[in-house]
Amino acid sequence: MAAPAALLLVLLVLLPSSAVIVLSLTDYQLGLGESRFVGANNYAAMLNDPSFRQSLRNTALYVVTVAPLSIGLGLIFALMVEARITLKAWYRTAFFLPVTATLVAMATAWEVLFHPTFGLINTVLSAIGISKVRFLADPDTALFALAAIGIWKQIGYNLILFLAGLSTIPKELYEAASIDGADRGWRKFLLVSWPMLGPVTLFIVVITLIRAVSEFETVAVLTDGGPIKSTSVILFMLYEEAFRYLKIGTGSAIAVMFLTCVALLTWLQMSLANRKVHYV
Amino acid sequence: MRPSKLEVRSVTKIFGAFKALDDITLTLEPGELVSILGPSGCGKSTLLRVIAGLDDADAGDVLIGEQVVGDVSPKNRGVAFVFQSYALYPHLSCYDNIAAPLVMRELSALERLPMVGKRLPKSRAKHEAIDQRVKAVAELLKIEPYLTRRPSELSGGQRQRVALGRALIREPKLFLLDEPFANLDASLRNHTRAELSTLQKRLGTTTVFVTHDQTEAMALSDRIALMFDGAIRQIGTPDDLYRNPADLDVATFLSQPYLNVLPARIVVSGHALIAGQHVAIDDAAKTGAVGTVGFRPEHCSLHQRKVPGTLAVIIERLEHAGAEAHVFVRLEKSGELCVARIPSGTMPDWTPGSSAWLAVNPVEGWFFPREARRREAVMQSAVALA
Repeated sequence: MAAPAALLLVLLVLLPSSAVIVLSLTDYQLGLGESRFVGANNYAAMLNDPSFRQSLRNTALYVVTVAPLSIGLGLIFALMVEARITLKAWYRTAFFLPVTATLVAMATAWEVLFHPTFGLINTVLSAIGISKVRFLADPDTALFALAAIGIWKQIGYNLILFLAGLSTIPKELYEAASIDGADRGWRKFLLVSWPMLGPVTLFIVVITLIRAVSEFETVAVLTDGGPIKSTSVILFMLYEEAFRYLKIGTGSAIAVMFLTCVALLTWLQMSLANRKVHYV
Repeated sequence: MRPSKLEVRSVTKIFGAFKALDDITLTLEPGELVSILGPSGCGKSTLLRVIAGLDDADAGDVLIGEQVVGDVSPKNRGVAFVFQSYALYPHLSCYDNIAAPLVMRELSALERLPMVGKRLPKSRAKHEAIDQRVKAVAELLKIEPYLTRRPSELSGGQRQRVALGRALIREPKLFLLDEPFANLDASLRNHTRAELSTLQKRLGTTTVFVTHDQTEAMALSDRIALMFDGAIRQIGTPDDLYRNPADLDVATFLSQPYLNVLPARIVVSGHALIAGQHVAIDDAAKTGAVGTVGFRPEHCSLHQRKVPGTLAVIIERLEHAGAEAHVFVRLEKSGELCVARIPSGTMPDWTPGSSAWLAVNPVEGWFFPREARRREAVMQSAVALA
């Protein structure tokens, strides 16, 4: 029974991944006929490349901005929606819309919001006396502007998962807690909700980190990696190397490193945290 | 803590169009253990939840120790609740589960912090006091060896003890137990039942115990309140309910596995007409009343030969039940089915298909009038006679 699935896995995942690993050891360029085996040269060049290190820094900054905020806000909003009696479904849908919307189209809307002259955000800022910010054109703010979009997009996804997690908590646990003296607020949250959300939180952290590390669309649509590479994240650099400069070897080396990092990160989290969040 | 009185005054609870509790009135004397017994869906758990404050009553009052608790939150009512599912915190060790009520009440948010909590001024003493109380409760319930484990690592019986421990530690005014033995297997249930009874007597805590199991209620209770359809039908000692049921529902519920029920009319006080035969029933008081005669299988006897005042029956089949056996018979006249209990040693005396005569013990049989409840009818006729 597992044979078709195994076949698909080999064809669609293992073979392409192996191909990428092989390519990363060559100087293959798209369109050129022949290529040579160059060993670890691509990796050495990658690690010495200042723009690669810059993109690593950008990615790290993007992740540490987006992940905690989108998870934290997702949880807070989920708790607020859960506590509501009316309009629950409406709020759920409203928060989830960004997840379903096409990001490229939404990015355009954000571009308008961020616009230096007629954007809503700058209009509000100037109304309260703050000088206009060229969000997407200023190297100091561009990455954070993209992070804001990333957070906006990820909150809805995390909120839905947190809501699902909250709905599986047995009512009797809350009742036991209310008799034991933890009937509301922090006590209730710390005694019941938060520990019971353990498994779903672990999943959300993993998913959010992976999504933040592999951010690409907003960069490609809104800033093209600029200004002065301030928004060039790791996947954007991969894309440029492989498809703009056609250096498949270098691009593959970045891809291999990226995949290894993501796999390592996930494995680390799962093995460290799994025992702490599953109580059965 | 001194045992408290519990009073439930005309409590009504409505869910939508469904009246879950219909004008319930119930008083527990300090230290008393009262079972709320009834079939599933009769509202017994709802009553317990209203007493605990987990549900609000739509009308009526609950008084715990003379204080009306309608506006008091569950944590301030001084009650402890044991859930059928135990509702232990799965992420906490048994120790922390038992300590939870004290930790949540007696420690501030800062003092509850791991590491830091114990180093604050005065908090060491508080932590030590809690530690001593947890250990004392663990000793009482003999769960010391499992204190470091999580609930998932325990058996059902052990979890049940931890849940009891969490309830005991606060020395509550009132124990509320919602089918606490339902998830245990039969032998463990009997054992735990005996232990709970001993413990309750020793602590003297007023206890409300919800169950659908009549044997459990009979074995444990000082008094039983039997509920049907959101109302209490009868309150009394186990013996009172068993021997003197107020109506046919009560009699049926407390006569497991069988109660014989035959339509009857009273011809003259003390005599009922059943299937064309005059049968002596002391309970049948009001001449001309129409209703039902009920008697347990152990309160009738089978005879090989015709005796005056007995019912002619055909033996259908026999069922071995250990020391005793049940004989299923059919009334020759009306075709109704009855069960008689005989010593299992005499089973060879009765062959299926043969004729026999069924004699109802006149003292133990009941008459349930169709229009009124038996007890009221009995009382009315007593008044009439006087």
